[in-house]
Amino acid sequence: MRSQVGISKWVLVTILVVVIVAIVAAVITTYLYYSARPSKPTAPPPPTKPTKPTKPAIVIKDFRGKTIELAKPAERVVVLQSYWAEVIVALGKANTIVGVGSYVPYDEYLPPEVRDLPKVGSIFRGVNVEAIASLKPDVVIMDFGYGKADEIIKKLEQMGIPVIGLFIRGIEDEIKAIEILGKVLGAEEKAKKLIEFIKTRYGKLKELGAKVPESKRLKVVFISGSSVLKGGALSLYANASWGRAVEDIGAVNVALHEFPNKKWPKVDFETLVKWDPDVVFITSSVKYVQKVLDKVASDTRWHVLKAYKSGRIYVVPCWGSIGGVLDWGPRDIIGREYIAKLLYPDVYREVDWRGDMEYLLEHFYGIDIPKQAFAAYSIEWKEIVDPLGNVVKVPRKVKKVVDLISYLSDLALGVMDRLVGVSKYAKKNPVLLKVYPKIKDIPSPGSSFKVNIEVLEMLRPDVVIIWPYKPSVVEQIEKLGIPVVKVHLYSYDDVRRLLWCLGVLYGVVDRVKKIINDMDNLLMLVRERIKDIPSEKRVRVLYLWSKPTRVQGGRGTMNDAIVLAGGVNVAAKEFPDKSYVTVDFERIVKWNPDMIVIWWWAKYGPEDLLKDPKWSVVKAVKEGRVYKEPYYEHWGPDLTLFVLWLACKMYPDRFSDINFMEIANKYYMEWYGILYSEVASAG
Amino acid sequence: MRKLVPKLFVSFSLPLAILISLLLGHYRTDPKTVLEVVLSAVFPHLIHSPPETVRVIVLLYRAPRAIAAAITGAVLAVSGAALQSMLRNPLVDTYILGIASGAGFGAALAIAFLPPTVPVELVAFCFSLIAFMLAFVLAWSWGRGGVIALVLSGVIVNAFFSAALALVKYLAPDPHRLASIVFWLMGDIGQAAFWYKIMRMLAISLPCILVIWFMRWRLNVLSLGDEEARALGVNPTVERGLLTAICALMTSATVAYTGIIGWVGLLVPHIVRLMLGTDNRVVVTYSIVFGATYMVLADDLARCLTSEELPIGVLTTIMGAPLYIYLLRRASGVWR
Repeated sequence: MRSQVGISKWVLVTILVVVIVAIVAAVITTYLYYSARPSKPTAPPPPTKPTKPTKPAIVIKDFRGKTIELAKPAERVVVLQSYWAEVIVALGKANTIVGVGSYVPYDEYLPPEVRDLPKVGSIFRGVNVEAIASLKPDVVIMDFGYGKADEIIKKLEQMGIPVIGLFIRGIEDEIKAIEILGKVLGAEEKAKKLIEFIKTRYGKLKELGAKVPESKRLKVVFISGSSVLKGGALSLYANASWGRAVEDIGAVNVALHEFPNKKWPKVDFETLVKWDPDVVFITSSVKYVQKVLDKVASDTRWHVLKAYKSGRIYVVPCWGSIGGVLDWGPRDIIGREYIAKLLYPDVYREVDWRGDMEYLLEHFYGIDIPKQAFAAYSIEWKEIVDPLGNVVKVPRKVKKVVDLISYLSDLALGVMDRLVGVSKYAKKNPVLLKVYPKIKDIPSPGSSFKVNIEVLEMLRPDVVIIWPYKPSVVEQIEKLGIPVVKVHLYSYDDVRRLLWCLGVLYGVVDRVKKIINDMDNLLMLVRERIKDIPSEKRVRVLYLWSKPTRVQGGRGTMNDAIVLAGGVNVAAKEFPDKSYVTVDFERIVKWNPDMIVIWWWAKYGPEDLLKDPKWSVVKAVKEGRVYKEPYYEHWGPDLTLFVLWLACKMYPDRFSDINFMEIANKYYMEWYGILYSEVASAG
Repeated sequence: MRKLVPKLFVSFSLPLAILISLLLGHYRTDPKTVLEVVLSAVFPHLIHSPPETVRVIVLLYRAPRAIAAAITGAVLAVSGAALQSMLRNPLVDTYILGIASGAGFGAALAIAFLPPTVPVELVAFCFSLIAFMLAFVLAWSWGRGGVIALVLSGVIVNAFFSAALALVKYLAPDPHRLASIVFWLMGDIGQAAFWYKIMRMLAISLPCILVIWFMRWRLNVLSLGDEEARALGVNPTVERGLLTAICALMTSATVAYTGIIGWVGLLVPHIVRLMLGTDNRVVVTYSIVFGATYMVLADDLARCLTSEELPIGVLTTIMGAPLYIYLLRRASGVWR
């Protein structure tokens, strides 16, 4: 026995030595790693500017066949139609527009600075030619051939104002128009890119459409939604741009075959019954989508149609409200993709109209409207996109929802009465308890981590909103045949995505637009005041969670809030993809933040750090800049209020005129119907 | 003196480990400055004004952390050693008495439901003592404090409080609090690294350690079995009760501050026994020293191994399990 012990002794000594050596090695590598890190990447050489060729005089032929000559690219433009304004914006020349037609301001895809320009009238009611002249435009861009257009053009040309007349009969014309406008505005490069974007997608649509065999081509009728609502004769799309679009994607447009020479023929309902198409598409503005579908569903005449019985009546959201996919101008191609995908989901599987829309808006329009703002509508369902980017089919009208996540957003959207189940955590929310005490009576089928399937089955909701952290829970719910909206919130953009998704899901898009607009305004207020602060003068912030060494890394809404408020998150660089991370205290000393913010629900406060002598070496503590944030919900519109609060604390001299509580009260009242001061100290 | 080399090795490893941990850390400090800081703390008139930041880091962060780790390690190891010999079972440590789950339940309760003015460690301490009392009373009421009775009662109380802990976790009013509970359960020396907390820990654990140290020869007697102990004039029931209570008291006091750190009380006495033999007089003494060393080094790893701080309880278990397997294979036969 003793000999065994003797051997073991040396084994143990060896183990100890190994452990110590391991520690030393770890430390040395850490030191080496940090000292060897390059101080800063060398700045890239300044890009060499391409030399501009001297521009020749511009000569173009418009759609009327008239030749227009300009000495230089137009710098002042009056545009009468919103879709041409969209093209100009997409060409990066929004600043050349000086006057717009009466309907242009309603186009929500246009930037506010265009929508706020002086209005000069419309093609239908006539324009104030003198008003146009007083704007001294280099050129006027407008449709011709209908309304009072030709008369207007004549007058303008008499006054010596060049007019570019446009009219679209298909994507080829769209492309030609973009080419012309690119030349007129001196934006040929951008025009080429936009044309490329449209051409490749159009080519794909036609290529796939040609693959549909003659015998399998569906019979389609494409109806104007306003005529459906009126209840009289139906106005159809035949030999016009959209009427022919249906043929491009491998379907038979019945109206086009019956009325080959008419653009928009009118037929009575009996004709429609006689044709009995396989699929019906109806155009509508976003606002009236459900109204049109309600009309179809309630009017029993429609029920005899094959398309109704098979559920293949679809609405195409059109025009300039957010959510509209089909319009003339750059979005035309997206609307065609939308129609194609609904018509032949298998043939057009690879077509992603939502992704293309997001891309178009981001890269050409320069606006940030996520996929989640767009839905596809049928007589039976609507197809929305959840914040994770999955397409989810929900009933056309969502009436019963189990929401295990976004309590305050539901309150802000005014849809609390549609909640049939909430997370048990919602019942502890201080705002909900005050504003909507009925929350206590709403049953709770569990949380995102554990759901009582029987309670859920009993509630039978139209949709469940959930964190997808536990796949088995999601699977269980989906097995019941209940659609699941999955949410993650790692950034401010995710919060916006969630809000858009909820707005589309509940069908309260106008309310969402208002709230997102409020949020944008709050951020703008902050951005305007901090934008000129150089990066080395930005306040370096550390955000602390449930204990003082648990810090906010570079991923998450809190990190975004710090950045949006004009600060630098000191922990972001070393932990770029973490939301919560526990660090060694020495690391905080090394970061030496200028300001520390503590989570409102943490069980400690600034006084705990201020009285702890070891924190005294941290700059923020030394200077007394340690704050506990007031109550707010991290995952809703509140986040923007927090950005303002943070900015006020970071740069008090720049925000000395801002009364945070007053602003917070105002928005809380608008969003939730309660004063912020009533809940600010909750928790 | 027998086994002089390993004894010396163990004895010197503790100051060495503490010295190492004073030098280690993410904040770069050169050894000379650290030594200056330490010297100026001991002899304030000899050396003056080392850099303030380094002084704070070394004296208010690294030093208390090392000391807290040392105390925790010593307490866990010595109570493990005492229990293993008393209960004549190599597979126990103090946690078998329901202390860990009691403390975990108390801490979870405080984090989830009690107002922030109530210190978490106080609730944890109270509940770990309550859990121990339950196990103790249970053992005495039906088994008159026998070995089997004590272990079984511990298992029952453990199970009960684990279930209660799970319930508190499930009912936690907010996912963030749930996360806090989970972190507490994984152990963190950092939350005990304050001089005033160390003083409180010492106030309870130092006398307890001393008592066990002075009673260390009785452990030898108790480990022979009840009959033999009685024959040698020791009342095994009373002595075992007393020693168990002392172990529970000091373990509760440390666990309340540091969270649950597993596998130290189990492993360290075994290592010491392998090195120095099974005489409890030696095992107790060197378990104190070696437990402290082990814990200090483990905490250094937790602090320095990655850019994030690792939970110490997880670390000790991950290191401990394979080491234990190795020891068992190596030394089958040393323990009965």
